[in-house]
Amino acid sequence: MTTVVRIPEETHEEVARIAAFRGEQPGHLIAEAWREYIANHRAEFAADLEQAAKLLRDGTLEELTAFVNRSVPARAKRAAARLANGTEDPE
Amino acid sequence: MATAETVLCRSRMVRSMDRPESLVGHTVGGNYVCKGWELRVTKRCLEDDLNADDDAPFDSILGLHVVKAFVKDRQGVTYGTRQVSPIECRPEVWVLAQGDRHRGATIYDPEQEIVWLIAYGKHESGSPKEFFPYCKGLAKKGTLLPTEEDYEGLLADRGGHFAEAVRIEAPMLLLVASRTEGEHRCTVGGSLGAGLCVEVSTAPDATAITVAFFATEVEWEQGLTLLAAINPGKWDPVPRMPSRDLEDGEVAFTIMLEKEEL
Repeated sequence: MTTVVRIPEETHEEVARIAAFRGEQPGHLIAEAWREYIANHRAEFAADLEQAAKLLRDGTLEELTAFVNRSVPARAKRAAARLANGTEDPE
Repeated sequence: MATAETVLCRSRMVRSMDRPESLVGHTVGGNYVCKGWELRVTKRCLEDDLNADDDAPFDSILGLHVVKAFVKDRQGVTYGTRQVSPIECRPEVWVLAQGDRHRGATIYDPEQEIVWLIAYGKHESGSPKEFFPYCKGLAKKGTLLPTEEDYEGLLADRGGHFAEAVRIEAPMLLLVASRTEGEHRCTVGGSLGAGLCVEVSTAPDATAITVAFFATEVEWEQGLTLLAAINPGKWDPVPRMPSRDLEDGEVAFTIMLEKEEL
């Protein structure tokens, strides 16, 4: 089973080159980059985690929902654009 | 900007494609939950074609002929027997028929696992909304397919369900994980929520909880809420699960708890 991640073409080419050089799959390299990103953004991660914990502890369901849905506008934009562009799911 | 597609592997075991039994056949906001997907009506179709509010909950329109047909014919399969033509559109637009007169148009978005009812009209020559010319007109105007606002409604309803489920389900899954040898694979909020793996490792004076999920499937805020609901303490990213390496696209976090914190 697979899923698709859209990245700029030049980034994809660079990832593919580095992955080939290291004898790895591009997906593996991207996952590694994600883990490095998390490691390098600990402060942001900790602040958001604290906010989630506070909302779970003291917040209303509406406030927690608003936090969970923080990225909905951006995700909705991507989903609608993908559909309008007729992109097929390779699955 | 030009884009390319990078394919990441993900585990079939982690992600349950089926919605929880308790939700199948029920509505969640504007969604009707089927086993492997949901049904929803676009805002334009709700307002212009069904004379309903553009944010009408699904259960408020269940009595309409075309919505009855939508549920009956699309809860088992995502497509119909014939396409609306001559619309050249991707994804395919399928005809939904109820009796001789009522006609609907549906599409399936596999990435979001949603079947949309995008138009309704009558199969009557001369009717102001004669189905096939009406659909063709909407396609020509670029208003046939779901919009950004439609997806906002869909994702917000799913997020609301996740927020509701996480508080109840997270303590339960931790309990089950602590009684499971090795890794416990589960979902929170069913497929409307997030799939994850939880492993609890117990030592004499401390316990480690490690949680993994796919960064491509679980949104940042969902992931953080999951972790905070399992334990509100300090989680750290880790490169592997205690009993295995991570799969491509998977991320893991761990928290160490002293005995008295449990």
